Amino acid sequence: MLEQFRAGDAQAVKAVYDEFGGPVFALALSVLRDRDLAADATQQTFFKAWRAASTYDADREIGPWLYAIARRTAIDLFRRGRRVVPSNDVDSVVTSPGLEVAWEVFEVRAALDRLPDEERMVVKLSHLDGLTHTEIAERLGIPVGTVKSRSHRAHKRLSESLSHLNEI
Amino acid sequence: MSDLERIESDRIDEILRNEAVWADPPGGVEQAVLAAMTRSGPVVTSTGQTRSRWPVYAATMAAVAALFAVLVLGPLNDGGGDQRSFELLGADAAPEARGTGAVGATEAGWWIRLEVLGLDPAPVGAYYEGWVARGSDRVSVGTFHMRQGQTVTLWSGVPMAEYPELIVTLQTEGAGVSPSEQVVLTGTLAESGST
Repeated sequence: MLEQFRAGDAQAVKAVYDEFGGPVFALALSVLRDRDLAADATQQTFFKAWRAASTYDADREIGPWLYAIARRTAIDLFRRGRRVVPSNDVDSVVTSPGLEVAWEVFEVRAALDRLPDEERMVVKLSHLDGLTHTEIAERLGIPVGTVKSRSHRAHKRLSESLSHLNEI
Repeated sequence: MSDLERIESDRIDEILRNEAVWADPPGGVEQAVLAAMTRSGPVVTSTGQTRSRWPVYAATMAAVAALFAVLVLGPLNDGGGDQRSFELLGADAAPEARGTGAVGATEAGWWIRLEVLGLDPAPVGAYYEGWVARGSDRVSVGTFHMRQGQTVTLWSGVPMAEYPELIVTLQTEGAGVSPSEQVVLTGTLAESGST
């Protein structure tokens, strides 16, 4: 896959983007707090990744590698927006609160994207919108028991996917 | 929230409540990346060494916007109209909603693309409907449900230069074809221009 990505193969690029476009954008938006800048950061991240693909160790996971590129790209854009003097110590001049949770945002979004759509929606309505199971059932027009079972499955999957974050 | 206990982390709960975590990149970013790659060509030399990247990168990124317009917006814009943007604000029925809109001309009509944040998925039995407005006149530009993603594309058969207001209402299935009183978003195209 990486070889194809490196070669600019459209299907490989699409596959990598489909898997990591959401996490990269979420990270960028968390840091930059601006959709246009976050879109720019996402675009630059994938382009930089492609340009750097020849230096990438294919035995390692692609996610953390893309995360590192995305994080630095977001910091650069954030710094430009704040007109901060460049420094080699990138973190020392950046105060975006989103940076502190950038890795968690990236990983949580990746885990959410791996959920089936119906389970993802229940998690979204529960956590982002703060709805109860009963309210979610009314919103989606499904039985409360179905909401509970979807919620249970979704949180079990999330718990497994994100267990490494609890070790930080 | 008992399910949350299974995750056993307040920090993850806090992240799940972060709107950014759920946001999707605007349509077109992927195409722009592909366009940049296509334009830039291979990176690795025959000796396996990489070329100096930044001159190519800078030039390519400068071309990305134009390529995006050609490859993504071009097919929609072949009627020759300019693309113009406007802001969307939440109305009484959804004060937390907000977003941006863009409008452009094609040979067959006008496309209106919305990037919406903070608008709940339409309840079962209901849907959202976009309208362009001129005074009390309303012309429907399409319906959507907002149950996935944040990007909405609507189509208009009348120019927004003459119908400069965009209104989004929450409609109930079977309740008729007139706009409801439940307005969730409004926006106004700035004066001047052909769209």
